Amino acid sequence: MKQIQFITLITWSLLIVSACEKVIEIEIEEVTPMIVMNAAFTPDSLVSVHLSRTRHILDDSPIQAITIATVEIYEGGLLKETLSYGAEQDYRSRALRPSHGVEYTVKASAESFNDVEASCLIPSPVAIISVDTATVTGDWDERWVTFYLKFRDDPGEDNYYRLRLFERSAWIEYQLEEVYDTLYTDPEKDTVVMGWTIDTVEVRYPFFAPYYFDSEELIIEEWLWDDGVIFSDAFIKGEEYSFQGQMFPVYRGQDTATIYFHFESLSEDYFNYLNTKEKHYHARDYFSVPVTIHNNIADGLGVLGGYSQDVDSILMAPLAWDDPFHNYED
Amino acid sequence: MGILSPIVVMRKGLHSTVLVMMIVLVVPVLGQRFTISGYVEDGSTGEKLIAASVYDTIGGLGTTTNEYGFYSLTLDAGAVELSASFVGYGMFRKTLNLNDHMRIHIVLDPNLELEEVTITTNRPRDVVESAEMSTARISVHEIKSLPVLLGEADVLKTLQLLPGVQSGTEGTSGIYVRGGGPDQNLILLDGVPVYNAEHLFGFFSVFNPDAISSIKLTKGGFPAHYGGRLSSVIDIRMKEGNMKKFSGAGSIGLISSKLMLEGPIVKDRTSFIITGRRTYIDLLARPVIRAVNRTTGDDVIAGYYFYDTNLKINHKFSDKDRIYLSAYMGRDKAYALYEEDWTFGDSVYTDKGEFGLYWGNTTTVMRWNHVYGNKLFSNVSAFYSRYKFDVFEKYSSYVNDIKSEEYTFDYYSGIEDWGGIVDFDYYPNPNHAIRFGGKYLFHTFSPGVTAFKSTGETGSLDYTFGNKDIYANEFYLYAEDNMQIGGRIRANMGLHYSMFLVNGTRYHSLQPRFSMRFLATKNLSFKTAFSRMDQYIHLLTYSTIGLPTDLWLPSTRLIKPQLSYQAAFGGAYNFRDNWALTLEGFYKSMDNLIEYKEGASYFQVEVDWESKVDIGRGWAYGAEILARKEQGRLTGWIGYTLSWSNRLFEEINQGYSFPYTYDRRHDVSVVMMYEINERTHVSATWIYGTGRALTLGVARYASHPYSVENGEEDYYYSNWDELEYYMGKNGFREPAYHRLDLALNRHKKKKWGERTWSFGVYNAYNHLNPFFLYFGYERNERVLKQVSLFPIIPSVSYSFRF
Repeated sequence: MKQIQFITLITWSLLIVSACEKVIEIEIEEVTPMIVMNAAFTPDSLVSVHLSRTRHILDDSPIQAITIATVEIYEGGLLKETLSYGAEQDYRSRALRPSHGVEYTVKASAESFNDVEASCLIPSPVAIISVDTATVTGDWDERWVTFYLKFRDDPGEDNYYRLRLFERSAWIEYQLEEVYDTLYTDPEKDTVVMGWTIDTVEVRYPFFAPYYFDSEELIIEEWLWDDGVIFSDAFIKGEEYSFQGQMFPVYRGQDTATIYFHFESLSEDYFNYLNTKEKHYHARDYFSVPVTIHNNIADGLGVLGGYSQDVDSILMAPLAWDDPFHNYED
Repeated sequence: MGILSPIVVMRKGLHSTVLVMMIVLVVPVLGQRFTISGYVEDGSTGEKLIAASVYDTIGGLGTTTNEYGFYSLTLDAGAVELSASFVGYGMFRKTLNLNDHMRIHIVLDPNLELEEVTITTNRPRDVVESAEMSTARISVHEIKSLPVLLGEADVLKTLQLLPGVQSGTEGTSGIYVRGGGPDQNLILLDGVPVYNAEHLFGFFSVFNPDAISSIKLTKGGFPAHYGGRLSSVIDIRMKEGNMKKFSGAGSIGLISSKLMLEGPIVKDRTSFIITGRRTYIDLLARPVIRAVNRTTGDDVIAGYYFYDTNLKINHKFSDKDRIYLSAYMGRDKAYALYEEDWTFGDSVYTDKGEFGLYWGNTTTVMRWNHVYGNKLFSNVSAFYSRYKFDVFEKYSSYVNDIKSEEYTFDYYSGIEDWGGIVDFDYYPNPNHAIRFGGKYLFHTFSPGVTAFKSTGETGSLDYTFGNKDIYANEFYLYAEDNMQIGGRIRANMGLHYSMFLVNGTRYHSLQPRFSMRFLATKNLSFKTAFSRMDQYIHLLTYSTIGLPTDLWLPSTRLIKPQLSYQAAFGGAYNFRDNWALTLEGFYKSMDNLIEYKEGASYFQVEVDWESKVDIGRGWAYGAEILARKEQGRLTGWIGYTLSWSNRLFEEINQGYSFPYTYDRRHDVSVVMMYEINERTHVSATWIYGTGRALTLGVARYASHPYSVENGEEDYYYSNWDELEYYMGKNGFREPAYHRLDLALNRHKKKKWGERTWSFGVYNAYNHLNPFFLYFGYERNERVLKQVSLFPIIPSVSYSFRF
């Protein structure tokens, strides 16, 4: 019995001493800083390239752009232009709008860093055949709009797509405006009083913003943070395909909206980058397998991607003030 | 039989008929051979001794006992000096004139165990002479002598100290053999597979050393009678129970106590052994938790315990027939209990509940050993094995002590096997030991089922949903011959054929097995081995932690069976009489491995498991050195492993190869046990291992597109603009792991038996080893932090035997 008491006493002493975790700080070896080159070329825009530098994983300072560098763009292997750093905080061409089907190479060099280089080929645009919509009523009598975006996949090559929706509209706000305008007579008191009347003034706040939608399409590879969906033609190669999605109604208090469907053909590198980047964000917990981000910058990091797009649009009227959808939303 | 007499004299002039007659008459007489067979057993308990050496020292021929202590040795007629030896026992010698088949049960005396000067065993020579390579045996004495965490002697943690065997995360008993995964180890308890060999989330293994008689690890050169896993076989045999007298042993430790009782039911015919072990952290902690609850106002009791029990009954019908019934059951449970009362109006309402997790194994085997004549031994077994875990919640509410509502929720998963084994050992002559047989398993996989039951005023619910059980049939046939070829070459050659049937899909494979030793000198041999192994089941586990909730799953149409080829080369050398040095190099390729895809989450339950994994391959290679001394006052070993283990998956790490999580370049273990005197033994272990490989950001960089500062109002900056740069999957190394453990055992003879006080120090120089790493902040600066579980931990335990 004495022995059991003795052991019990020691047990408690030891558990109290040792049951807590010990946290110690350890160092991570410095990785040689590299140039980070990010760009996505599209025929609709002037060429622009953003350069920044990698920082140590424990360096908590904001992203550090490289403002003094030589950035050259080659078209079909020939030097086309040396880009200049400007107010947009990137290296931008004065006039070059890239074409699809042409290989572009960007070379960048900056002091204290290894030179970096990357190439991309902008794929041909895939045309939107049509965008159709249908209104459906949900369980709560709410109204949803289902859209069908039809396109034909090119059977001759591997294609990678991104679908983004944007909304151009305006918030309408009715402001009260005080108007000092009248002197009127109070018949009972026979006096003249200075009064005012209230007018309502309509104020419009135009905006252009990503438009949220939902979809149960199984071909979707990844939903991008704030930026649509990406998918490949792995399961629809050469088919005419109708991509189906659901749009949220346009809110009350809003002007009729134009919904733009940006249907983009992505270069493979750009697709892989967007795909792995999104998964990388979601896997930053202890119970997920970390995701390595696709990289096509030689001796550096980042992405040089290319895309071309076809755009279609529809008009969507805002919901009535008494639409049941508001009950659902509220 | 049938071997010509070495002397046949031919004389001119003799008629050929006479010559033939001479041969017919003379050869059988000169070449007459007889078989000596029987069992080798412990003189004090009747326990059969596995792998004991039995030799004719005159003819230089010998054999070893099988897993049931049986031997058979066929020798030329005439004078024979039969000797038998086993580590820790005195040598048996008997001179006899062999003129008929004989059955000799050899009894070895264990009383000389500590008197090392008088013991002369040939164990180091066994290592040189055996055709086996990449194998190791660990004695229970060694397991109990070594210093361990919280004083709990542990089979698997002792195996981790051998070269080629690596541990998992700090303090756990996970086994990673020659670059393989934790599911690639076939752990057999009396021949029955044990699927989860871990207690307390892996900090202890389920095997109670008091119930065990032998442990053999095979990590390469697999003989044909093993199959079903790629990387290792850990063959653990339970004791049979003392046939001579009633005895027992027990211990009281910091976290658990255990008791073992054994003895004859009918002396020399029937014996039993029963063991039990239970932790009592929960019982000890309960008063403290209640005290805390009083101060916080809560009424929740949380706890954890495990228990396990072994039972074996052994009956000898005759010298030819024995049966054994053995069983194991173990259970872990982590739980929380709560109770809440309140009053509303005149009624008193009470809510009671419990939630938690439990898991455990159950194994049972019935075995029949039969000896046919002198040369053929058979073992026939029927067995059952089950592993199950259950996440549960129970809730009930009462109004004025009358139950008004109740519900239970369970999420459970597991694997259940029914099976049979037939093995035959045939010893035609000392140059051949032939083994053949087969095994059948009927698997039931339960990959995750949810059950909900509720009763109350509003009615009753009872439904079950989730993955359906998957049924699979697995069987194999094998044949192998352990043969002596001339004086220098011994080889084990065999074939293993297996088949797996699941949901209409059939897999089968023919697996060649081969190992060979060339005896260069009396003390030096060279060895080589080759084997193919197939594995039809997979363990879906998150690679950095092992949890009881990891799922065992069958191969399917999409997920094909794992297979490996392994080749090993090496040598064994005896020096200074009692040291054995082995050096081995190996190369192992593995196909159809599964690994979670990048981005897959352990908690991503909505995605089916086949979609979360990628199929790829791996390869491991390296060299292992083991210098081992098993006799004398100082015993122990020094092991060193230099190895590489890599993986290649199409959808992981952008299709480039990467190091396996437990790729460990250097692994050192020094194990020393020293007998100061009969009463006092000390021991020490020191281990060092290259840090675990893991995926960790080493740099940060801007994403594309990312938001830039466009004036005050538009300023936007968040972590979503930041990416972490990994130097490839598993491109970062944790700090190296090293630790020194010390122990001192004080034995004292008592009237009733012997007692032992054991004192230990785990992590004696308090090196903080990594359990996991995470990014955090200290003094407003971002830092990488390491969590360590076990600083220096002293321990004490009291044990006894009678």
